[in-house]
Amino acid sequence: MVTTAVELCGVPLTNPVIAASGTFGYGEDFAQLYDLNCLGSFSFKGTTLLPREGNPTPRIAETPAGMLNAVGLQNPGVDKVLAEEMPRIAGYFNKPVMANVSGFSVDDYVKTCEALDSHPQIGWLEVNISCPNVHGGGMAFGTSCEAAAEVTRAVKRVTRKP
Amino acid sequence: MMLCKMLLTQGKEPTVAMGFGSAGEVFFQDAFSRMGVPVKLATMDGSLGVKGVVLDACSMDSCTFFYACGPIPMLKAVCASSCSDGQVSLEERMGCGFGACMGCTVITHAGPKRVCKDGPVFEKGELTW
Repeated sequence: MVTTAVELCGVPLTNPVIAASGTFGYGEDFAQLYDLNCLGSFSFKGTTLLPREGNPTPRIAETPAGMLNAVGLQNPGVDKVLAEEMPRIAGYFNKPVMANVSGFSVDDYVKTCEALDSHPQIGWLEVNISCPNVHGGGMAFGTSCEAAAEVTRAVKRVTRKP
Repeated sequence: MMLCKMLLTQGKEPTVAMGFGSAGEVFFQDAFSRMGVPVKLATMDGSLGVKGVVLDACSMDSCTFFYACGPIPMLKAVCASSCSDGQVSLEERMGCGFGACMGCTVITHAGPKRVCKDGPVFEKGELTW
């Protein structure tokens, strides 16, 4: 019998399949279709400090080479994710889940990660640095090594999670 | 078609209104006619029925409830011109179709809702048009 178990930053996964953030919501829609525990884990919907309604509609456009989407980080905000989504996740998924975090300032990332750090079922923090830095002229954090390092450093100070 | 059959079974008296680009695109006109319901038809080029859009072929003033499907601008016009309640079946491009990606979101008075999972049928009054 082949074992597909791996470790990700010291946290064990029964297999390396992780559903990507943004394609999977908080898992509930797919838990109605199959047992999510066959996955290694999933990365839940990009979560911000405050609730966001997301971009105006329509959000998807067809292009000659595929499609473009601009959902705009629609999510209920970190407090509601912890109070409502995490208890629901525990009902259908019994492994560590990955928390995808977005922000528009270093302080946003820090406060969101600080809040998520306390939850025992969150195994990893996945920081989305493609967001525009409102204090940095709107450039995405990920377009500059300094800005990416600044976010990473600030977040690592407030969490022990990988 | 199913909706029309269901309404007839319930003893209602539906009228079907359809709009097309031209006569060559028309479908289901005969099928609805065979069911014995009045069919009002419009074509943009006037090659069959009333020349114009579907609202030129039917008066929304006299209806007590409407069901509509089609392009969003047409649905908006139908909702705006009708004083009765009604339901619209929305079409949006979908990323996943399972309720996870929020790509097909529509804004309602109760916040964002997903066409694929919470719809596709919405009450006229729910939408922020």
